[in-house]
Amino acid sequence: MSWNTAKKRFQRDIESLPTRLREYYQRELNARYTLPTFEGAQLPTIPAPKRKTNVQKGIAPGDLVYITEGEKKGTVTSVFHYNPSNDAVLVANVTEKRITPKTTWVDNQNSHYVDYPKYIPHSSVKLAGKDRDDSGKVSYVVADEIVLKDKYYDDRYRSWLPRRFVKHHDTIEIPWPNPPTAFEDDSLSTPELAVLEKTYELQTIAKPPFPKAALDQLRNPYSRHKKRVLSELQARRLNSPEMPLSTEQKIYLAKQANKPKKVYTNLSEEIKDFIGDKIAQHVNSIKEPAMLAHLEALSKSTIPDFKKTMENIKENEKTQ
Amino acid sequence: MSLTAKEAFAKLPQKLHNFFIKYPPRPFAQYSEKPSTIVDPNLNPFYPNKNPETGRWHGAKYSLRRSSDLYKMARKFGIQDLLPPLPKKFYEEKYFNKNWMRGVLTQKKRKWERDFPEKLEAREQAIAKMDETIAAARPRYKKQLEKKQQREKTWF
Repeated sequence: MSWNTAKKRFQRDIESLPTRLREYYQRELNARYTLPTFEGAQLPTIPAPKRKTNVQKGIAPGDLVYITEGEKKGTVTSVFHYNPSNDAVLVANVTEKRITPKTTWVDNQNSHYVDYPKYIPHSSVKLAGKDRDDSGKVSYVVADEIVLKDKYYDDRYRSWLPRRFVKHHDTIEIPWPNPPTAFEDDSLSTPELAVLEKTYELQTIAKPPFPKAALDQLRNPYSRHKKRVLSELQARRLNSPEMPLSTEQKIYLAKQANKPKKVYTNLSEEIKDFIGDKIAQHVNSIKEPAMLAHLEALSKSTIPDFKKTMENIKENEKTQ
Repeated sequence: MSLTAKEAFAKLPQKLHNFFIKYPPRPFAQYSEKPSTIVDPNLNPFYPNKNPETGRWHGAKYSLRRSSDLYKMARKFGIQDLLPPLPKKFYEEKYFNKNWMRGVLTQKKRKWERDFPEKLEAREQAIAKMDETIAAARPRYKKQLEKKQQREKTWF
């Protein structure tokens, strides 16, 4: 962690600003750092916590979509890419003419002016499903909205995916498309069978899995974390240093040391009789057996301080 | 079955016995009813006491909680009066000597509501003394009054 907060303090955090301001500063930034000729229309960025993945949005590369807005309105094309930071999709056949700098040229390009794939907002496309009836006629189902329900393991994606249904039509499922690039094994990858093979299984916890003699070879018996003794430095770090006493404190302590120890004496017979009389008077007037039982229990209650007091009295009597 | 004094003293709980060893019961020792100094031989352990040397206050030796504990236990054995005076009231004494808030005893009301009876009375008096007031301001009114009295119908 850096303690230099000065830099961050003077930076403008665009993400934390209100939407309009954020858009304004985004536009300003784009204008400042891109050449005007290469400028492309920017879709507003979505703040990081609000972004969703393509699976959460229910769209994946290879999906068929129906375009509802723009020049290509009413056509069905396939999705190339979903951009979560703009909530936008790249689809086939939707391009714009753009001037590209020479650094971004691809093979066989000989003009600055090219058709460039164009991001269109996710809201202007609807997911479509291809359906083929018995006679071989192809029709499309366009979902106004989709809902994601439960989960299943998709072997093509090698992950858990939700099922997609047309909203309010639980019977119409739109399956996920085949991933555009299938996973291929490489020379370093472990074969699936080898991964799934179980080579060791714990049979009982009563017996240790390793022989005791092997443990010393597996673990370092001299590890410094196993030492039960603290080094001097560690001890010093753990214990705060003793504060030196001020003169006032020293005087006070000396005075306290000079003071005679507190000495208690047993109650005299007179006092004992007096208290006993009072108690007897009161207790004899009590009629309820429950109260008497309660008093009986109370009289048996003990406290630790009483023991100390009695010891003090005994010591005092011994010295005298 | 009636207890003798000795048997009864044996029933004294340790908590109270311990306290009486440290602070003997009332007629055998005197305790101040107010906070005093720590050098005072009559200092009350239930009150805070001042150190006259340093001018600092020592907190009560027995907190309000502990003193209440002692009082309640002593009361069960009928010896609550032997304890030093307490800063708190208990049971009936506490109930009957409640320090009520003013607002609970009498409702304050709005200003006009408070002044209203007085205002009504003043108005009644003014109406009763109306003739005199008018006569004082307008001397001719006396004649008018006399006429009025003459014209007044009587039963005869």
